[in-house]
Amino acid sequence: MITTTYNVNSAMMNLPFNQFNQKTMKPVKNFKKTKKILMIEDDQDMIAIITKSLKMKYFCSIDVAQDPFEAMNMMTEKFYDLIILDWQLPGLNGTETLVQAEKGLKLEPSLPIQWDRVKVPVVIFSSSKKNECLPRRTKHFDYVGFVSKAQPLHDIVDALGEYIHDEKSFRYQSA
Amino acid sequence: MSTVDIPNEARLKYIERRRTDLENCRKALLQDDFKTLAQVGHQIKGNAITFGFEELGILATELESSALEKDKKQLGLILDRFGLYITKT
Repeated sequence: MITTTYNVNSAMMNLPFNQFNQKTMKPVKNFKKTKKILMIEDDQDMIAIITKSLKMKYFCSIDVAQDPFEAMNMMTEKFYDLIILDWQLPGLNGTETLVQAEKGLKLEPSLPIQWDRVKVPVVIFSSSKKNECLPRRTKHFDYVGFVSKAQPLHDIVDALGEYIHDEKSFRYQSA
Repeated sequence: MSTVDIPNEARLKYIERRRTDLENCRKALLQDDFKTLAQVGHQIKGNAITFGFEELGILATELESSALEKDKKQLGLILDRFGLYITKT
């Protein structure tokens, strides 16, 4: 996590970057927890531009998995507030990725406890059409929406931002 | 710069990587590797518009659909246009 040094009565404190108003450098009172996002994506260009833009605009933390198996490993080690899922990955498509991840989570004895409490919202992020991406229902994942890659960057960032801020709550139609 | 502006350097690197894609596509066409052609088309279809290259996005859509149809003649023409686009950009 990026930290900023803040001088309070000569005591130097290291606090998370987004606890501060960047103009006044005073702590923000209604600090919200930094959202932890897992982006499962194999396109290097998209990874670079999307992660940078989301971090700058929404102050979230983003881990990137470039293939389904790397994603499975990351999910067994950490709980995420949101998953951004590319639909066409090397070897598996989006729904196969999460079905395989389910199997991995069931077999993992040291799973973070949050996995048993809430479902992780998943946003499908794809060049394919929405009706070509029909996910299957799973125990740990909740498909909440679809964002097309084939649109200008600011539209993608705004669309993903709505999910990062939980402003969209409708359910994605599952197969 | 707003938080979602794309730095010019990133756009240039993006086009540089498409040169590699073009080379790979030309090799794939010689080997009748339509799967690779469709994959490259699909990926560029998704990211070209994001980086502000709308025309390239349209070309990539044609590349993907022609690869799925295994239309070698059309694929050759599309790759020529792809090359021209990269050269002039």
